[in-house]
Amino acid sequence: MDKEQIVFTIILHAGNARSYCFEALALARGGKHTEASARLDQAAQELKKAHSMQFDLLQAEANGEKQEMSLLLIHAQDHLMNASLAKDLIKELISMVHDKQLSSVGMNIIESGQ
Amino acid sequence: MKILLVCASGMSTGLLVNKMRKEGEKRNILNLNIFACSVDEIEKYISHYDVVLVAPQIRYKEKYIYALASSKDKGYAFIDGVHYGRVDGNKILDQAFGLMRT
Repeated sequence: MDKEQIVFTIILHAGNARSYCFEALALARGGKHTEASARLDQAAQELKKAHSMQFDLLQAEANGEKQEMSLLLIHAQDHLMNASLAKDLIKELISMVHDKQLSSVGMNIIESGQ
Repeated sequence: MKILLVCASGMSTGLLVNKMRKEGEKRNILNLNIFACSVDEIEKYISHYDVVLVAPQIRYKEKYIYALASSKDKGYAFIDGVHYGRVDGNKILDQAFGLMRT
């Protein structure tokens, strides 16, 4: 795999991760928490792939193999960082949605009991 | 044939444009017009192109792109992840021509 392909593959996996995260959030808002958590797992898998490619680049550099810096590589880092943040934030958002849904179910039970 | 490539910022697809143009020259395709833009600019450009190819990393915008492409009656597809990862201008050009026929 040449440098260009590495960059494109990082962007691809990071983008996939981000897409899965947003799908997970949409599912959670619809009350489908099992599916949502499966999407988050898929996102984590994709992020792992992107991270491992980035790690290889870092390690090569640490071993004295000079990396050619390009705007495109920085751009790939951008995608990776975005995806990483999206995953952490969306995880939190999903648990907030879950809590809210649970508490509204609780309210309904209390109201119907009266 | 006019192809619009769309990704998050028009950067990675900008590189693809060059690869695809070179493939087009190899195949002696005349009047091949390829342009890359960011997903935020797609509304500005879509009318001027025949088909839209979208980078796979913005799949989470599919609903928006689908609605826009249908309203303008343009064929669109997400670029195959494997071809995108390999920066394979040849296969991606094939994909664009495939959209044209349908």
